[in-house]
Amino acid sequence: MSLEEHAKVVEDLVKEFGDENVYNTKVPRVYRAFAHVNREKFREVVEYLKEKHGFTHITTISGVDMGDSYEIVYHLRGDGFSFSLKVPVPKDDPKVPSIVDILNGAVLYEREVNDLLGVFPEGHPDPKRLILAYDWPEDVHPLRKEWDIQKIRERVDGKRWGKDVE
Amino acid sequence: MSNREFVIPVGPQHPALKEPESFLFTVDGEVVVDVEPRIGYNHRGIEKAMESRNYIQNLYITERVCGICSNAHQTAYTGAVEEVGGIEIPERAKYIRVFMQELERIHSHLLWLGVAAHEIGFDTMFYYVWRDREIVMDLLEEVSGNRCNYAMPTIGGVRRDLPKDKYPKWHKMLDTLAERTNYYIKVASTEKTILDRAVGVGYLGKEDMIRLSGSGPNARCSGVPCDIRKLSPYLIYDEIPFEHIVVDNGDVLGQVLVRVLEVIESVKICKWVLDNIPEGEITVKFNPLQRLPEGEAVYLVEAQRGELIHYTISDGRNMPYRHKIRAPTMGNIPSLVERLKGGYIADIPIVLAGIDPCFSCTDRMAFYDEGKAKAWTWTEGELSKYRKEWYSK
Repeated sequence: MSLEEHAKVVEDLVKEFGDENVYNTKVPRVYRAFAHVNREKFREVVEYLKEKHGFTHITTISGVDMGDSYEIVYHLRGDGFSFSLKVPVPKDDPKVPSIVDILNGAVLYEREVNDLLGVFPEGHPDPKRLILAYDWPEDVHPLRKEWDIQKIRERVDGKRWGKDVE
Repeated sequence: MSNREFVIPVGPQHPALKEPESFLFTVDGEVVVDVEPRIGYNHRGIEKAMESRNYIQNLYITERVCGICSNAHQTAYTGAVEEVGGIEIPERAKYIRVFMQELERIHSHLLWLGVAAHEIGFDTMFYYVWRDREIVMDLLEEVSGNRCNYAMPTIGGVRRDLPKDKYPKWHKMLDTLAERTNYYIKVASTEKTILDRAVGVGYLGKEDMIRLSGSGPNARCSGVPCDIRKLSPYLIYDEIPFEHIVVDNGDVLGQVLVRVLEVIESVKICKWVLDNIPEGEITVKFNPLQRLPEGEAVYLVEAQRGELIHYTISDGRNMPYRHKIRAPTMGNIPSLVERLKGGYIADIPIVLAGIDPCFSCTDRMAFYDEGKAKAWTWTEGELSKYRKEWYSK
């Protein structure tokens, strides 16, 4: 596959869903592409990519705190072509639609994002805690930028780290 | 759950896996009905820690994500950072990175083969394989000074060169490895002790494997061609002639075969690298305080256990805004769960070990002086004395 073919896949996706739903696309090099996708259309986009372009593999899901919103990045892969779909999520409504029924491999990654960033996968068959300890406070999501190591320590253990600890 | 079914917890301290993982098995008599994985017992907050350290400091963190895949993690990390920063590394450095990556693959696959033999109660083979693994461990130690955590890749190249006068010796060592591995291929495909415990155990077909997004030898043994080195070549893998090993057994025997056949390919790649490596610089300068431009990069690496991804976002500072790591074991758990269902309790260890466990191996410290050609060990006290003398100079 060449850079042109990869760019064509991205163009086709924009044409199918319109540039208000798929935007900020870029193909930085061969085998890599990035695009922003609206949360409402996201499930349809994943289904379309899976059926039409053979993106059957999900590598992982990264959750990113962008400051004024969250961004959930879905790294799909079809053969060697890794396509990262970014779904912006507003901070006052931290939810994304689950894609476990489309791509079964996402089952653990969605739980991981729910643990570490606190973005809930709606429609996940079993959205239990996966990574953090069972007694970890419900409202502490370590990958949110407002939590630094000192604050987490104070909240979880009730004391600070560093010089004032004997 | 009917009243015939029992729940058995296995783990978190499980002998077959270095990463402590817990599996809740629901069993009906001898048969496994359902499995529920729970991870996170070894969660160290590495991704969060990386957000507050600069790119050079993060090299040391990524290397310690895992003891066996340390070089794969560093290759992926440096690759991602160089892609964001637009840093072009010298040709020779690419060859050395590939050389290290393949040596690590050989050592990891042989380690796995020994563990798998142990799990099915074939300890003779375990001792044989681990004896032969020492050849590649010696080779790694000669190249980098370490048996694991080699600290070879750095941002902008590699940290140590391959001395030319050693090539004939390394060729010989690699030949011995290939010879021994060929013997294990013969043993694995004919020996009744292995076949009885491996054929049809933990079976998963191709469709299920694609559906569950497995990767690495775990997926290639089910007939899914998913070697990142072939699909999305990085470094110089598009120039190297080697086979894409895929078998369609789908069971534990398939996992054994994929790995031993890959060892042969890795030996071939190492020998090819030694024959074709160009002369030149091994690194370009990278300042720890250097700021990278804004940007992001996804870097995929075929680690020993499967597809490894590093995704880095830079916001223009000298540290990453966000760095995401997904190690292959996590991606293989959903398919592992499917493999376990319908099997017997007695087969749990080998099927669990099938996706490749990982042992922390270094508990010694040896020093090797090339000039004097002798090795010695130090106690903690001697080491501390050496440190004090070194820093008071």
